[in-house]
Amino acid sequence: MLFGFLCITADYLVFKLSGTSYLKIKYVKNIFFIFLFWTLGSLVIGYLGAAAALFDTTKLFSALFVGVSWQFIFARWVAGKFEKEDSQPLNAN
Amino acid sequence: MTFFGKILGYRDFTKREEIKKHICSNTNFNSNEDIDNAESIIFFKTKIQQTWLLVSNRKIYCVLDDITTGNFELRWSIERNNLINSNGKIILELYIDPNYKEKSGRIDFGQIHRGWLYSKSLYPDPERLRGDIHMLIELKMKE
Repeated sequence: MLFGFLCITADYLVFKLSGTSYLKIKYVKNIFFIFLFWTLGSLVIGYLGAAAALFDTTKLFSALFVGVSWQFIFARWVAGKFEKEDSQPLNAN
Repeated sequence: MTFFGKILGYRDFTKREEIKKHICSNTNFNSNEDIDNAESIIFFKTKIQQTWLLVSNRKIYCVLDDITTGNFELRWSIERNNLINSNGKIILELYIDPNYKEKSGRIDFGQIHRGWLYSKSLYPDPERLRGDIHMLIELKMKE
């Protein structure tokens, strides 16, 4: 959960500084909800992974792997669902 | 707003009244213009974008609302004298290509505002889109 929080915080700061989100999150609205969801998501995925004996979240590397990878995989999958849609061309005037 | 949209930080679509309020606050807004009674259609809609045409008694406005950006954009407007002649005949030419993409057709508003998409789910028949735009212009500008 800690690494999930650190990962979303780092992505938010990068977005604020450079306008780019590696998680493809826009941070336009619901900032608190975004932090809550992605942090708690890490906890749940870590718990399920540990329960299924996929990894040991008491170890630093495992916790880091779960916290970061689940956010990258899930966020990009969700963003991909929106990106498949047609959109108005940027140069249309 | 869908749950997936929320977790990616997207905002909600803007309501028509908020768009009207924004147009009123625009510095180029003419006091003879009746924006409160403006009619509108949405001609393009996806999960993240919708595009409006708002027609007042003086102008037609195109508004692109993309929920992945901070706010909607007023992309262009056309004055009444470029839409309708003194005899009340519509002079705005609409070029519609319904075969542009699988889910979207392409529409040009005259020679200047070109390359806009419209949703085939909203307008399966391109003539209905043309008819709706003409009807709005006639309704608001012949008053």
